Amino acid sequence: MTLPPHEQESPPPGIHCHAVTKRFGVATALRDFELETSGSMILSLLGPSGCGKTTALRIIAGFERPDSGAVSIGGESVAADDVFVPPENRKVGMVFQDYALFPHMTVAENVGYGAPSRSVEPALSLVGLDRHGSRMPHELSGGEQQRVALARALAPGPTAVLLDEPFSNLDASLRDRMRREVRHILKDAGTTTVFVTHDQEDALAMADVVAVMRTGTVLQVATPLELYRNPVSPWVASFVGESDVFAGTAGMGSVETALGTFPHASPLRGEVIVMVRPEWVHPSPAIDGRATVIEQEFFGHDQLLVLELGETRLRSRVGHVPGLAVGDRVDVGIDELVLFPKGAA
Amino acid sequence: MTSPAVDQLAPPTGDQAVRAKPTATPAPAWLWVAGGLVVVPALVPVLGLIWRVAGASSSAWETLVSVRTAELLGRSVLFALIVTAAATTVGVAAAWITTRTDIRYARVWSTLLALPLVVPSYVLALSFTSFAGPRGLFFDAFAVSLPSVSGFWGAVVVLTLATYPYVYLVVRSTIVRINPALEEAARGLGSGPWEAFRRITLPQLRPSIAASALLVALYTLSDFGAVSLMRLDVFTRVIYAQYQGRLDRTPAAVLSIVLMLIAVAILWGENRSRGRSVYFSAHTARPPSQLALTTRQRRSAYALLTATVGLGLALPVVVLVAWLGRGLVSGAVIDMRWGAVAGSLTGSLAAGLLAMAAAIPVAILTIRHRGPASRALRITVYAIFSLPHIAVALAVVFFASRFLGGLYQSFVLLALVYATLFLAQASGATEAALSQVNPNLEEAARGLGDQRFRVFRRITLPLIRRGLLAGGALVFLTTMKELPATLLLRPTGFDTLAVRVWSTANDLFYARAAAPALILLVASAVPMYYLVIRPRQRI
Repeated sequence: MTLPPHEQESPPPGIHCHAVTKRFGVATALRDFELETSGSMILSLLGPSGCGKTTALRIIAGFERPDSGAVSIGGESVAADDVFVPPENRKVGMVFQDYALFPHMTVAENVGYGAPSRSVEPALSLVGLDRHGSRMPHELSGGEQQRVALARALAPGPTAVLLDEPFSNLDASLRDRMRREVRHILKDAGTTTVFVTHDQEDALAMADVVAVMRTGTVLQVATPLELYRNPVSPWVASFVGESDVFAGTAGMGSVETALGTFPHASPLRGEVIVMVRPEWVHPSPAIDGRATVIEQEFFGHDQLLVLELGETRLRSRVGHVPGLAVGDRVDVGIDELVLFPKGAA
Repeated sequence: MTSPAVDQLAPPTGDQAVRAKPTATPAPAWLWVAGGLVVVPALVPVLGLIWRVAGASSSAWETLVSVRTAELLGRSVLFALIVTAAATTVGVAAAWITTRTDIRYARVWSTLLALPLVVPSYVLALSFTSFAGPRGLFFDAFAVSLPSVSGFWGAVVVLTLATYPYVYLVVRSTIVRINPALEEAARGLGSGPWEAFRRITLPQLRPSIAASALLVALYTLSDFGAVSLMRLDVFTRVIYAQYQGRLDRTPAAVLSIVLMLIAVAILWGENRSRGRSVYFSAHTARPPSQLALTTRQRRSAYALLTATVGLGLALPVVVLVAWLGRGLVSGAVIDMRWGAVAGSLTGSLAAGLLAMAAAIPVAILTIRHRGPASRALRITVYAIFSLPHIAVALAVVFFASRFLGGLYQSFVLLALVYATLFLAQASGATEAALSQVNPNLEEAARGLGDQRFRVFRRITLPLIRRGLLAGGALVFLTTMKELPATLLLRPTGFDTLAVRVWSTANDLFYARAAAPALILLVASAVPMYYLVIRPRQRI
């Protein structure tokens, strides 16, 4: 089957960072940082605090100048060895962590700051705040303030939108709602988006593509599902989702471990690290089972069991298992697993 | 937490400082009596003065509608306006240059720029008049006479240098607290660096600028020492001359009331100019971004800062030391009156202690028992602080000479008037400290069986001690420099350093003024450094 012509065209270029390095004094914030977005992609930069993700965002926005490397936005070079476009000429809409709404201006004045007044109404209705134009920022709730910040960033029709920890100032229940809303708004607007977060739930729930960062470098770029099922290292596995590891010996098509022998599709052979997610682990009660249930925590829709075998402990997230209690012996079935070479971190 | 004393530089802005939850229990009657009593020494005489002038109709009206009064009014208002505009310009520029540009030694500059605060205006005036002019130091050293600095423009220069630090300190502390993301957001939306400053940062500075400009205007209107040494006939100097030179004291009383009305009008105008927006949307640890200056801009910046610090700080110090040296070399008696030192110390100490005692009921009432009555008390305290001291002192003179007999021209009355005039400084610092004390602590102590007064002594007082002491020190410092109230109310034979400096300089005995002026400078510098300059730098 052939696609219609307009879908075959490659999507318009978004943000491209190539080999970007940035030092602050002796500390290296970014080292050979790479990033690429296109079309209306929403990309999340996910990493622990201090990993350089906010620096990357500020370099894209033009608030910091890279020491080396190149940045282009919408196909135009904005930072390179002999190029530096100041932030006001980059056509990038930025939503700050604390929203940075101008406190002395109304909502409409904020949204109209960088855009013609005719685009204020459409921007406000895009975020569902049509009737709030004459309010002052401090008269709004946290979620509303965030939507104003988004409207202000979108109103000038930017080539790209950047969000810095967009949900960190919201409480848990509002957070879930705002993730969905913001994603809808950004998809409607159709701009390429990069957002920075340290919260894996933000990243997995909102992004099309997640770039996991650590100490100034991107470790893995993947869709949320791919990232969850095939992390590139034990560190990525434990940073994104829950994971447990134990030792094994990989042969052709199967890996032998203390818990049993399980199939795998990895090219690795010999001593390996086996990584599993709790929901991939299924205990079944057996009088002579190899593992013991040592903890049981009940959550209603499921339960978390901690299983122990010698030195190895692993968690299992399962539904109701009839007759299972702490102290029982179990056999362990594993749906899925990921292998890493021995010594990987 | 910022030092409570610092907040006193800016006048109260609404109920900003009053943050803690008020308790539900009503204040006991004796607390209200105490709170009411502390404003009596100023409030009753001022009301008495108004009563008296309203009674003495014919000669009062003659004074009020005379051409000279109109001229005086015009000159005084113009003078205050020009000084306010100049001090605001210098103060905002200095604050902006030291925080937002890449000039070198920004930290050193920021301390130097605050230091002229320790130079009393009349010391500054004395160093200008004794430096330039035909009898000045400069002529003696180089045999070339600099044009003498006096009159209207001389006084403008002196008061601008004496008052810009208020604007500088208040605006500076606001600039560094403004969320840098706001300017960045504006840049991202297409504004260049200057436009972002003008449209985003400047409007946020407006309340600080307005508040400190108000302070400058009130200071300028009330200043007596500098304008009298500069021989500029504005309200304060004329009131003093009228009081000294005429048997009929009604003109002095009428002019005092007009002066007080101008001060009230300024307070009212500033109060109305506040907008509805809330500033400082977020607190952030990130320092503001800095603008790279071009070589030309950098040179202008250095020129402005050097001129300001040079004229406001270096010149007075150098001139005073030179005069002191000349006095010593020529063998002239330095004429150091230890009585003046003792007078300054005892007067200031008594004022500081009284103000601390009076600040406690005022602070408790305004923080813990918020309501219309405590609001009125607080406003009265600040109004007394804002009124020109010569006018208040004159009102006390009239009242005491008529009704108080033995108290008139006594040390007790002088100390009471000092404490009442400067009570706002002590109560403001105490309020700031008390608003940080969780009322639950007091309720917990009462729940554990302590009575109200015991709770105050065991819980509240230890927690507000630092604020209270800071307020007392501020009153001490301000009293040291006080001039007009001392001149009008001092007991016979009572002398202070400020009076010494002013009267010897007025008689052109500059060498004699040098020693007491230097002592005043050093004595002011120490507490000012700890109360204002050092805490500001930690922000």
